[in-house]
Parts: sequence; structure tokens; C-alpha cells
Amino acid sequence: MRPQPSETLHRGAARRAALGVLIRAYPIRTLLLALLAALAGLLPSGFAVLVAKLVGVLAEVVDAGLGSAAGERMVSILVLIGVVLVGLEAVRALQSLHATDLYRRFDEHLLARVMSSTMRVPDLRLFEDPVLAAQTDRAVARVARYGPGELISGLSVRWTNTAQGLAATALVASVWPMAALVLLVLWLVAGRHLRADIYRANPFWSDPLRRASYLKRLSLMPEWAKELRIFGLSSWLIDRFRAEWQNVMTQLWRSRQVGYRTTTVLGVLVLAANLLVVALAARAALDGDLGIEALTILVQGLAAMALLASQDGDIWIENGAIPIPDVLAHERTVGGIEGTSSAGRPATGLPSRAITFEGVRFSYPGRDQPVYDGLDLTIEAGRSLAIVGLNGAGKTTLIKLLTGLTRPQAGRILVDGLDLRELDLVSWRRQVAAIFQDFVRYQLPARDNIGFGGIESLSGTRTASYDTRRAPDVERRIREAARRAGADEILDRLPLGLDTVLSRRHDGGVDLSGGEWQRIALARAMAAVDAGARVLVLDEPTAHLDVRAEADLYDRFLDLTSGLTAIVISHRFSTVRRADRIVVLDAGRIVEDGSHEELVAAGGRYARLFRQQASRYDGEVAR
Amino acid sequence: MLGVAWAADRWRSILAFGIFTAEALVTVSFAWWLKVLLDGLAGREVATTAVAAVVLGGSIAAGMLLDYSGSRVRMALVDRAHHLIECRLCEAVGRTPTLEIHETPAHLTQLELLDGEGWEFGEAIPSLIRLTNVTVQVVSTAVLLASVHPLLLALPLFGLPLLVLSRHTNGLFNRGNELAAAPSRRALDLWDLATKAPAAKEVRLFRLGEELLRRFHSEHRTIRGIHVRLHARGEAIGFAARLVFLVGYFGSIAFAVNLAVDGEASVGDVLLTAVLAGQVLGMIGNSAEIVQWTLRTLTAASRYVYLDQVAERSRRKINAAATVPVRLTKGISLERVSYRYPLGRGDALHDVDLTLPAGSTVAIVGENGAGKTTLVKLLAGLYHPTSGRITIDGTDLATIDPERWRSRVSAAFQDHARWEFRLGEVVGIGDIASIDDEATLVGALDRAGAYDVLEAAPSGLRTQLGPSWPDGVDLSGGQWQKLAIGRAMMRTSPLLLLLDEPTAALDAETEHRLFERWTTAAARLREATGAVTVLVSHRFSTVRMADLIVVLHHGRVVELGTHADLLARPNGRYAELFELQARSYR
Repeated sequence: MRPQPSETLHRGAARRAALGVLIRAYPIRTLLLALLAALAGLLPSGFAVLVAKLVGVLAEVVDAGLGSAAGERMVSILVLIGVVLVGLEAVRALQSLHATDLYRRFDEHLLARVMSSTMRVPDLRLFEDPVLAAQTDRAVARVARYGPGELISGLSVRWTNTAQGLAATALVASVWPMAALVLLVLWLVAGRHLRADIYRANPFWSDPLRRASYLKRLSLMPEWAKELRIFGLSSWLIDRFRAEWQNVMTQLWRSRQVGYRTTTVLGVLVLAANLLVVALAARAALDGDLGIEALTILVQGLAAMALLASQDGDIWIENGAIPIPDVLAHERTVGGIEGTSSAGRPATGLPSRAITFEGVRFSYPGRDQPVYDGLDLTIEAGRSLAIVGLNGAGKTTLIKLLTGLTRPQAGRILVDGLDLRELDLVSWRRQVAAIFQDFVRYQLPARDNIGFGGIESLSGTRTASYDTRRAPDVERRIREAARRAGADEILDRLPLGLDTVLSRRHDGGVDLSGGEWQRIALARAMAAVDAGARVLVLDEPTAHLDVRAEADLYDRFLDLTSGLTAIVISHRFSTVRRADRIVVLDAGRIVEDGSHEELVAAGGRYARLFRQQASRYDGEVAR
Repeated sequence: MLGVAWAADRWRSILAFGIFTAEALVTVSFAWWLKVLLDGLAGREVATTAVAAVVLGGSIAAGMLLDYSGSRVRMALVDRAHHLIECRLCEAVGRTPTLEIHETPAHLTQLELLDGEGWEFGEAIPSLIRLTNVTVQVVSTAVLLASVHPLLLALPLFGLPLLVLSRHTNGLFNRGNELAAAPSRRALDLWDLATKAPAAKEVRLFRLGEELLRRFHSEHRTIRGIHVRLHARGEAIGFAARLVFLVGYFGSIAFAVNLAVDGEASVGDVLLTAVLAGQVLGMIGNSAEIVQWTLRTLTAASRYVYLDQVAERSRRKINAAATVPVRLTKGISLERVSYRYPLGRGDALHDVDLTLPAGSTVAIVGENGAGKTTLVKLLAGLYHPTSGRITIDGTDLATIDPERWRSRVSAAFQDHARWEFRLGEVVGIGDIASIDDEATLVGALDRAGAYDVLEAAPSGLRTQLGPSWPDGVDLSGGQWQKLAIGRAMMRTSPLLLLLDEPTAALDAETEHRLFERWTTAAARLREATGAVTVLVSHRFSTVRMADLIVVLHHGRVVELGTHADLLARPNGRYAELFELQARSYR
């Protein structure tokens, strides 16, 4: 945590990388930013020169009167001063406009790059592999937290100051080149030293600060609000937040307290050099060797040279640059992952025979016990299969394997005899309509929540390729998907129909209950079926449904799955027993296999569990 | 609010004040010494010239050091004040016993905005200091200008439009933020979908990548459009105001030149006027900026005050004398309780009269939206009834300090939170006092049927959970759920245990066995504390074990009794729902 020299070095690399990214993404705009900065830096020197000339000519005018040639020269100098001042204000206004716009563009550019590289990875390893997950999280959290756009604000200020400082150096050099050279070196060295300190003083580089900000989120965000109150955690969390912050900051403040001696030495050198130059110049002026105009230019130039060491804007540059190496590292990692540029066989029309798991082995990173160790399972096309899991884990993993979201460590998965690895994943996924137990509640219009199931044909309503003539057809298909999922009455209640946003965080939005969400998710799967999917996977489709909705779903189960290869994962017997075939999973292996009647007759674990449950529903209901 | 920033660091505040004032004086006096230098040269006064030269040279170095130390002190001030305000914000939110801040969109907006504006808060003291400095600068500049000619005092007046209009341009800035709030929120949602784990499966499966990116850019185009439009207008106004000032500035120089030509001023005076007048523009620009910062700080402050008031309002009824009984003798009663959500159209619960007898296990059943969770949250004190009252052995719950009540309440929810701590802590926060007590932790895990999660964890209770932390381990949804139940089992003698479908993700048999154990445990507690267990479940196999079953429908209690009572009721709702579920086992 203590900043090492290498850390400081690394930060220099971050700044260079950031500038590189900016220039590659926006070459013309960056050039414009630099030009405006140069102008904003040069004009003040022009002003200083004109003021000096004014002072110089004034002495003549006092002697010769306003009507003289000197008087005319003075008037034209005054006009020029006016032009320079107006020009400077105009340049500053443009600079502010341009820098702010580029600020936002750069932010957007980097966020989009992280989104895009994250989504390029076709499986879930960026979220499940601890090393990759930490790296992804770092890039994602940092780029979102430290708006990289600050880089632009910082560069705009820094470049302006540098331009102004260099122009001032030129002013001094025009009078006394040697003094200009000495002071230039001195200011640059001083600036470098003072800046090195700011990079160390920056509070953001530290990862432990992330833990602190997590604790703050826990204290503030709705997700934790209920339990925070029930268990009285507020002050405990705030104490931890304080402690983490204090811990980070103490180290930081300590690290800032270095280089005082060098600062003092540099301060003394700057002081001595400036004293000497001004004093010598004054003597020269007294001796008549230096004109009053030149002296004025010199002193103003000396003062403005201090801008070469100014640290204004540096903290912005620093903050803006922080996430860049993380983003680049993230992109490199993603680039190195095989299969990101997938081009396999198209999977259209699959499966027509069967999906087969052959000796599949899979374990999550960091876990000793494999979820599956030699799983063999054949899923016949066009029939329905229910999977009953006895020991929690493994059911969702099966769907992830089937959809290529995770890959088996051994064994293979075949679709009509073709290895899943050889299939084009995008094309294969178009064949699969799956709703996971933790389905997504998109804070988007109902239209998207359903239409996303068949994005190619049912959503993307605002793309250039969107054909308005198809709109009524799309609307009809979305409503039909909703009807099959029993979600049509939800749509009927929405104030803006399909365009109602399903979140109260947005204007005119509506919140749905857990059961309603579940039916919307099911409608999404139906939309995928409508768009051509031939495999329907339902992972605990009734977990959030009430008794009536659940019963309603069983009644339409046959309709939902007709003509499809259906896989239902559930521990509710009511759902399971309708399937053509049931397999019972235990510890990653299939222990029983058959229809409901067969399994009940076999008297195995399924039968025992079923009878146990059934016995709890004994009792006469009054009629 | 200033108090907060001041309290953050007194000494640094004073130090910063000194440094910034010195810096202001150095800047202003530079022009004065320049004039002295020129006048000294004109009059061939060696001593004056020498002094001026030394001071000028020294000012340059002093300016550098003051600027440097000032910015460091300022940074430290901002860090601390920002942190302090973050803590205050967390406290205000934590002090609010109910969920109203999180469930009222207007409150939530204030919270989100303030959370993002913490830095502006940190700037409170620095901008106050800068304000003082600008005043020092303006006054001393005025004195110097007046020394050339009193009429030059009119110059700052030309800067007034700039100052006055800065309020308007700040308004434009705020309006931009407000207009952009909706598209920004949408863009943020898209960002979360694309980059966070919860949506990762569907985004890939449904091939949403391109569409999400396209929409992200489209939202940002909208955001940029809004800002560019308003910013351009602001800059145009600012530019016009500066031109007004430049007229005055130019007039001043011309006036000083005229004085010099008439012999009423020295060449040095003209230089002084030109340089000083140039600085005035900077000062006015600064003060305009400071005014904007101050306004933003005030906006942030008003948000804090707003949230603080919500917190205070929600604690208004608390009576320090109201205590929680050590053991329940009568029970928990709802007296004509109604609850309506903020912005809700109708009551989520309506006129509910209900008594949960001490020592009983009560099941709540009903269809989605019947008001089950609302009832649970009311009992936990997470909502205050819109009308009616809840009493604990006769004491109004609203008057009891929520911290006291909750130290005797425990709960597990279906939509539990993920606390990415060490495994022991994730469970232990269910009873902070016992967070380090290994035996209690293991006991709670065991009662929750979560011992297998502990067994599978590589470093036992010390295992860090959450894959994005160093050595962090991810859990399956069911495992997180079990830990949430474990949390609820930490308190060993609660008066009220709320179980809102915490086992929905587990299989029926596991749920049943867990409930059997809990009801046995509850029976033992019955004598000791008279504890009430409230359970919400869709599974009638579990529900039937309860002593009392409450059937809710559209926010009203429609049936009440034991399993046998309710089944025997002809055409009863409970009987109908039971039969619907039982059907699948026949």
C-alpha cells in the first residue's frame, strides 16, 4: 500500500497511456484542444508586450503630445490591446465549450470500450474466475467512478499554463537570453518535483479505498436497507467505513510528507535566481543600458514563467488517467481469450435428434468439489425433460454448460452429434430460449423486457434498419408471447402499454411484483421461441408464483412446450410430473431416470420424496 | 453545513486561510511594486529601485511556494470534509428507522444526487476562503487604483453584470443536470447490464451486446446535446458580460494614458492601471466561479438537510420511556392498521385487525400482491402504518425506540441482501454482539441448515465471499440464501422472528424440515420469551404446521384460523388454494 517508486513510475505510464488513448480516439479534437490552449497561453504574452510598448511609447507621447507620430502609434497599440483582450475572452469561451464536450465524449468512449470488451467474452469467466473477476471489477468500478473525462479538463489547463509559461520564457529571452535559459531549467525542475508530490498525494490510487466505498454503499443503497435496519448495522458499518478510510488516508498523508528538503532547496534557488535577474536588470536600467520597455517585458515575463511549475489541473489529469491502464489491461485479457471471435458452424435447425452430455466434468474455480464429474445425459429433441436436483448446486450449471456460458473441463456436449465447441455460439444461442432462476428485471419498457428474447426480430426499435411497416407485426408477436406466458393481463394494466418502463425509478414507470416479473420473464422465453428457438429451458419457473399462478402454468405446460425440446428444472413435483421424462440429479450424477409413473413405481428417492410431500396434502377439503 | 467542514479540520482551515490571503496580497502588490520600480527608475532613485527589484524577485518565488502549500492544504481539507459529510449522510440514512428514503422516488433522488455531490461539500471551506481572498484582492486593488485617480474606482462596476449573471449561468448548469438526469440514469442501467454479473448470462444468451451499446451511445448523445446547448448559452452570456467589462477596462487604460499625457500621472501609474485592471477581470471571474461553487454547496447542503429532516420526522413519535418487554405475555396486535405506499393508488393493507398471540407460530398466505410482505415490514417497524397502530403487549410500536425493538426481532427474506464480507461476518451481523463467537455462529448455521456452506468454504468462517475481492469465493443463489437464514438464526431469544419466504429457493423437503426444527425451537422459547414466529410461504405443506393461519386478499384479512378450521370452511379461499396445490400430488 505504501507508494513505491515503481508506483510513481506506473502512474507516469498511466498518464502517457491515457494521452495515447485520447489521441487515437479523437485526433482532430485533441489537436483543437491543444490549439485553443496554445492560443489561450500566447495571448497574455501578447498583452504583456503591448503594455510594455505602451509604457515605452508613453514617455515619448508625454513629450511630443497626442497628435504626434508617437501618439498615433500609441493609439494603434491601444486598439491592439483591445483586440487581444477580446480575442482572449473568445478563445477562453471556446476552450471551455470544447473541453467540456470532449470531456463527455472521452468518458463515453471509455465506458463503451469496457462494455464492449466485457460483452465480447461469450462465456462467464470474467465473472466467475476469481483472478479475472477481480480484474474486470477493477476496470469496471474505476472507469465508472473516476470519470476519465477529467483528463481533458486537466490537459486543457496544463497545456494553457505551459504555453503561457513558454511564451513568457520567450519574452524574457528577447531581453536576456541567458536568464531565460537558466530560469527555464529551474522552473521545469521545480515543476517536476512539485508534481511528483501530487501524484503521491492523490487519494485514489489505493485499492483499500474500494473497500471503504463498498461499506458506504452498504450503508446507503436500498438493496441492504431492510437488513441494515433489522439487524441494527448502521453504526457498525459507519465505524468500519471510518476505520478503512482512516487507514488509507493515514498512509497517504505519511507518504505525502516527503521531499520537503528538495522543495526548500528549489524554493531558495528560484528565489535567488529571480532576485538576481531583477536586480541586475534594474541596475542595467539605472545605468541606461536597458530601456523601460524591455524592463517591463522582462519583469512580466519572469512572473508568468512561474506557470511552468503550476500544478493546476494536474490532479484532474491524474484522476482521469487512473482507470486507463485497467481498461487497457482488461482489453488485453479479453483479446487473449479464445473464442471471442467465434466463427463456427451455424446451428440453425438444431437439434433435430438429441443433445448429449458425454463424461462432462466441471468445477468452479476455487472450489475443491466438482459440480459434475463424468455426467452422461442424453436429451431427446422434441420431448420434455425435467431435472430434479437433490443437493442444491449444479442445476443452473447444467444450463450454463448447455448454452456455452461455461465450458466443461473434461468431456463434451454434442448437439446432433456436433461438438458445441465447433458450433457458432451466437447461432446456437438463437436456438435456445432459457429463463434462469435469477432472470433479469430490465429497467426498460415492457416491450424490451419481452422483445429481448428475440432481439433480431422483435426489438431494436430505434435502429436505422428498423422497418416501420413491421411495427404492427412486432407488436402482435410480443403480445402473443405474453399471452402464452400468462402475462397478457399484466400488459393490459400498464398505463402506457408496451412502452411502460418496468421500474419506478423512471418517470411514468411501474413496479411489478415478483410473480409478475416471473411471467414477464417467461414471456421473454416465449418471444425467443417465436423468433425461432427450438430448445426451451425453464429454471425454477414458478419460484415466485403464487398458488393460483403456479397451477395456471402447469395447465398450460403442454401448450408451452409442444414441438420443442423442453428442459425444466424444478423441485416442485407439480411442475416436474408433467414432463415426458424425469432425471434425478444427486452430487453431480444422475441417480434416477424415467417418467413420473415409472419413478413412483420404482420406489426410489423420487418416489419417497413425492410420497412424503403428497402425504402433507392429505386431508379432506370441505365442498 | 459550514460547521461540518470546519469541524473536519480547524487547524488546516486556519492555515489555508492564512496561505490564501498571503497569496492574494502577493498578487496584488506585484503590480504596485512594478509601478514603484518604474517610478524609481524615472526619478533615478537607487534605493527605491533596489527595494522594488528585490521585492519583485521575491514575490515570484513566494507565489510559487504559497500556491504549492495552499493547494496541498486545500486537498487535505477537501478529503476530510468530504469524508465527514459521507459519514453524516450514512448516519442520517441509518437513523431513519423506516424504508421511506429508499422507497420514495423523491427522497431517493436526493440521496443519489447528494452521494454524487460529496466533493462539492468538501469545497465549502475552500470556497469560503477564496471568497474572503477575492474581497481582499478587490479592496486592495481598489485602493491602488484610487491612488492613481478616484474615478478609476468605477472600473469594478463594469464587472457587475458578470457577477449578477453568474447566478443565471449556474441555473443553466443545474438545469442541464436535471434534464440529463433521466437519460443518465438510463445510460447507467445499460452500463450495469453490460458490465455486471447479474445480467451477464442473459446478455450473452439473448445476444443483447450490440443493442445495449447502441442505446448507450444514443443516451449519451442526448446527454451531450442537452449540456452543449445550455453550456453554449451560458458561455455566450458570460462572453457578453466580459465584453462589458472590457469596455470599462479599456476606458480605464485610455483614461490613465490621458492623465499621463496631461502630466497628472506617471508612466508607472499607467502600467499599474493596465496590470491591475487586467487582474480585476480575473478576480471577477473568480468570484463568479466562487458564487457558483457556493450555490452548489448550498444545493448539496439543502439535500442533506432534507434527508436529515426525513430521518427526524420518522422518529418523531419515539418516546424514550417506552420499553420492550423482556417476555411477551399477550402478544402483538394490529389495530385497524392500513398502509399505503408512497405514490400508491390504493391501500396495500386496509383496516387490518389482528392479534398474534404470544408464543404462537403464525403463517400468512395469500396470492401475489395480497399484502403479505407489507404486513411483515410493518411488524418489523420498517414501515409506519398510514393509519391505525401496532402494539407490543399493549405498547404502541411507534413509540418504542426502533433500535430497542429490533434488538429483539430477527428476520429472513426471500430477497435477502448479499453482504460481501467474511463468511463468519455474513452470518454474525445477525447479532453484532456475537459476531466473533464461533460457537454461536456455527449454531446459527446449523439451525439454518447451512452447515454445508461452511464445510465447502475453503477457509471456513474466515472465507471472504464475493469473487471480486482478493481470494473471494462466489456462492450459488441457494447458498447465499442459506446464509441469510443463518443470519436470522443468530439472535437466540427474539420476541419476533419474521420468515418471509426465505426458503422459496430450497426444495420442499428441506423447507419442511427446517420449519419443523424452528417450530420445535419456538415451542421451547415459548415459555421463556413468549416469542412469535411469523412465516410467509406458498407451500401449504409448511403452512399447515402453524398455530394460526392468516389469509390475506387484496390487503384485507379474509380468513383466520388453524389449518383444520380453514379446510372445514365451505367454499373457503384457503381450502381452494390448498386444493389447487394438493392436486399435483394426486
